[in-house]
Amino acid sequence: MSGSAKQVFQSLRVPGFTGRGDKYLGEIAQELGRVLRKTQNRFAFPSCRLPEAAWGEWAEDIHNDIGLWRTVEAHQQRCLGTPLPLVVNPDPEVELRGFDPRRLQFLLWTLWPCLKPEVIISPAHEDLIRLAEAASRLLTDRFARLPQDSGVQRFLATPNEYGWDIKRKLLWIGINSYLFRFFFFHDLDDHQGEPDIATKDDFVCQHCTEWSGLGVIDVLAGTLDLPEGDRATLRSWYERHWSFFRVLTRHEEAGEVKYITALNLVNRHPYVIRMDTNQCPFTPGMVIYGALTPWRGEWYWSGEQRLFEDMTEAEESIVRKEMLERSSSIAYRYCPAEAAKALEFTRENHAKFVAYYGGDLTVFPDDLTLAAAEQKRMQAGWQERDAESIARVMREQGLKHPRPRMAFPPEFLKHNQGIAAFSNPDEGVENLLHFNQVLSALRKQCAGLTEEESDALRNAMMAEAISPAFVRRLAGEHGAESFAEAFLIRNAPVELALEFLLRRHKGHFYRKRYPSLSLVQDEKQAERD
Amino acid sequence: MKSKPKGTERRGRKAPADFVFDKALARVDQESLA
Repeated sequence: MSGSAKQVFQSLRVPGFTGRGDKYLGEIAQELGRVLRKTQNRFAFPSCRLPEAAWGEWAEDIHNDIGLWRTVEAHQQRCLGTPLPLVVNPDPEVELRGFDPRRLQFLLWTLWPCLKPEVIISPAHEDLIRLAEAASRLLTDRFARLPQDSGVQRFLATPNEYGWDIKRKLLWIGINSYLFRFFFFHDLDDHQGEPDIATKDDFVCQHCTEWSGLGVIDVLAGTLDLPEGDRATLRSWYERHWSFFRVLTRHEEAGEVKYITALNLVNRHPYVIRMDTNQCPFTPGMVIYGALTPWRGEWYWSGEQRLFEDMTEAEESIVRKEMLERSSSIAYRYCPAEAAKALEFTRENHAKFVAYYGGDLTVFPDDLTLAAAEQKRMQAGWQERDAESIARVMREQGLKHPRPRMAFPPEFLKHNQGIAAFSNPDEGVENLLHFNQVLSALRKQCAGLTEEESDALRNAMMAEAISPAFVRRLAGEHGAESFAEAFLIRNAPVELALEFLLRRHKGHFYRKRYPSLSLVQDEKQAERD
Repeated sequence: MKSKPKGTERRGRKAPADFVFDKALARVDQESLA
């Protein structure tokens, strides 16, 4: 193995953990590289290759039954009725073993957007199949002689007693493993982000990936040998408790601060936070802004913290008001009463939307028409309230007119390609741009889509703010054939293709959700709290 | 009390952090700098 290839391969391993099979992986990856390059000579996109190391690491996972891949297949079997959607059709008889080429086909197709995002490829593309078959043959032959002992497996088998034991594994899987590292760097590119602490923490705790919506927490929970309660706790880490915490007590033992207790200033609940450090600067009375995750009855800091040494008790009500108004979707995680109230208002608003427009979906030709119609609707809604409460809200929010402020994102300005507004009873109103193209594409039911129409459908499917409920609403009326065609999915039942695409691109909607509505906190109430 | 608590305007992702009491993440960050 060449020096640089070896260095890259070594950098991806877990420091301090080596299995007896590890030393063979580099050579197998190199050999595989040669075979795949030869196979790819006549391909349409010969330059697009999954780095050799990733094939070897995938094979290591399968050979040692580490559990990463097993978790993905189990999730897809549970949600979509097949371990490998679009590659293996639902069938109770299907059993996948070892280095089955269909597994490799699915692996390469799933990672494809990270390797060549500008090219849409069918999951049944013949080049993919040939590549998978060549890799399968070589891996089956080479791994037959390898001992079943892997450094990754040894690392994952270490104790899970503390939150940081779990976090270390989470970070390795999220940033280094073949399953997630391509998505991590793809995500960095998409958001022009730096691989700093906050970005890494966000990715491993809350990002849903194209592995049918699975996050790193879900895969680690499925991989580790844990009691069901621990698995459920780990799967809840996407809801980190971001807040301001006032330190109440500090507990020391043998020169170390073992844990502190702190009060969440937004929900007024106490938390026991494990520290185990002899360098703890937190003393009673200090306020810390940070995020906490639970593990086995205690809480652990997640990511970075900021200190507010001189925040007075009188200022606590302002902090609570700010969190509930400006970061409501975070505050609702630990303020269930406020979340329930926001949901109640959202459902009331939904009923008003339906009554006003005559249905949950309405279409505007452009941004100006939409703004004028929504302004009129909001004003009509406000007129039902008494004059005193309107005057109070206008005063508190500094409004010039008796209607809420409406702000549209910059991409709405001068948009004249149709805008669909869909009222989701649980989340609020969702707006979809380029609806003229979406509609013409759906009406064609997959026959002869233009590039513009395919783009519009892919954008709708991949847009973070468009819910599965909205997509299903459109598919219910016009069929889902065009959605499948826009992604070149032609070999699977259309219902399965739609469900798969929703899971793959809208995984965050399958987690716990909160209304996009913030409750404006009454000034007097805020000061009283 | 009308004024905002000192420092809250600067909170958020872009503000520099004071601490990283996330042992695993701090370790990964140190390793990546090494």
